[in-house]
Amino acid sequence: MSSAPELGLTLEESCAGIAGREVSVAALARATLHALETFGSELNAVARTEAEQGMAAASDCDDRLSGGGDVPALFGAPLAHKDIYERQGWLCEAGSRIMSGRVAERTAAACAGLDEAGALDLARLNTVEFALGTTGHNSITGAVKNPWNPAHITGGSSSGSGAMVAAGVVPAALGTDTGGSIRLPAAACGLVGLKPTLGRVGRSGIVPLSHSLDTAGPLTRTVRDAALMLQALAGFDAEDAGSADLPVPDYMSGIEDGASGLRIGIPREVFFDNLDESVATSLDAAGSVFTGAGASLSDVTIEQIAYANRLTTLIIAVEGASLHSRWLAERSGDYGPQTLGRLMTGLFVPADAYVRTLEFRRRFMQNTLSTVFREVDLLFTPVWPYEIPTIEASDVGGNPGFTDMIVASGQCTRPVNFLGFPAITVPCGFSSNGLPVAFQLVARPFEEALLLRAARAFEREIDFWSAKPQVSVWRGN
Amino acid sequence: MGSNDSSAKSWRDKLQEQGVDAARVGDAETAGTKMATAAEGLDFTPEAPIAPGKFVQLLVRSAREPS
Repeated sequence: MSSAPELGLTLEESCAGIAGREVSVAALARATLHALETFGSELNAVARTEAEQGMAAASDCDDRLSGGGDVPALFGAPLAHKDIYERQGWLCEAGSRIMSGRVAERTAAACAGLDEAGALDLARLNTVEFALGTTGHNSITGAVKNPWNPAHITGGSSSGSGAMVAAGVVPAALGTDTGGSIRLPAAACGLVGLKPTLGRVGRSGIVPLSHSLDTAGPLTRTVRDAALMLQALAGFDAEDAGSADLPVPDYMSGIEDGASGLRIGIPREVFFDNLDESVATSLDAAGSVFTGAGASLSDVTIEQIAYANRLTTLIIAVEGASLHSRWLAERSGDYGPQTLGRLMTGLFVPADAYVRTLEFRRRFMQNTLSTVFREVDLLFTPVWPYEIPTIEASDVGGNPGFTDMIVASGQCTRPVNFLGFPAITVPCGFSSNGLPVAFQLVARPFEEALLLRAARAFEREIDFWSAKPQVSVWRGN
Repeated sequence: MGSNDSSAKSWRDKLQEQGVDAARVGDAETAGTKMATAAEGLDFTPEAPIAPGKFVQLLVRSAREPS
């Protein structure tokens, strides 16, 4: 039994309880706000709560429930999101000094979608400064701690989102993914992380890092919860020049159809380089689950894949530097040293390298789609190539020798951002140091439904969440 | 390339004027130059580069066409 009975449920369970009038939205919101304060402090995961507005909205929800009638799919769900999602009138500080005290003038399209689905918005969660980093370190706000073992990183940059969902404080949280920043913390925290197709979820009102790569999406504990979130998030955003105007399917339809008949490709080159043994063992076991469920696995080769990781890094560096150019010219001293170093690099990349990269991206994507994805329906890869490290060991500020490991952290995620394809991470076991291990599935553009169906087929075969993190609502405060 | 050199000099000056250590700026410049080498092996084609918003339209088109 959890320390607060209303907490620790999945999003689906919470919403069913609310719709069934079994639980008061206000009681759930109050318990969540308390947990955001306590566990959020313990794990350094919360930037700030918005209790007054949250409780007012919760009270309105209970009034509506008492009136009878149907409610929207996520009605009353107590959520919190990465501190780069704007809400009109709220602070949005992106884990930085540069945006300290900045009040948003508009509400992010993604948040508006969740509002329309009836969800509550209770807090903003800590992030790597300007979402630029894969470990969860932030020299300004401090590193977020992993609920499974607080000495270890959560991964980043959606670090607070990973921590609060894994701790059972909120059933879901929004993150963003430019080079892995939903998938890496999801994998490190034992969560499902969904990076939709580039353009599937509107990005207006999100503090940008790279217009060519930024993707918004959810972190949840279950695959069905990820589907529920995507249902509310997906759609055309007229304020986002990179938004896709494409119908949104019913993501729950077919989600229980299983993996039988699916063709899954394993791209060994780059993705499986220098894999830790315990990670490899977990992935092998996960592959066997898929074959047992009726899918076929085969090795595939992605031509020119060796370029993808480094070119993604190039795009992020150049576009990030461009977005920050005014501040770099006037307030460079207000950046954390890691962030400054990464952004400054982008200032010195010759323009022709960036232009050629963009042109190559189009050819690479089209070639991969017409060759690899003619033979398979999904790709299966690791997420982290090594065990989740400690906060101390992975702090390049204090341990410059870890820099190569930082580069390697994105070897499985950045190529997918380069392609723009959708991907989902699913927890599949634990490494020898006791931290979660996950795999990634990648699908063709806008085939999120297939990703969810395959991920759910795996999830049904194992009970990952029978284990609980050290610091979580299931173990008390 | 002249335009890149003058831009680089301009940024060196701007950053150092703000007190950023010259060595750190130098490291960033070296890293940026090295980063650009990732694009050196790419085949040259005369096609126009794809703007960020247009890339999404390619993804949409691929979803609409039968595979």
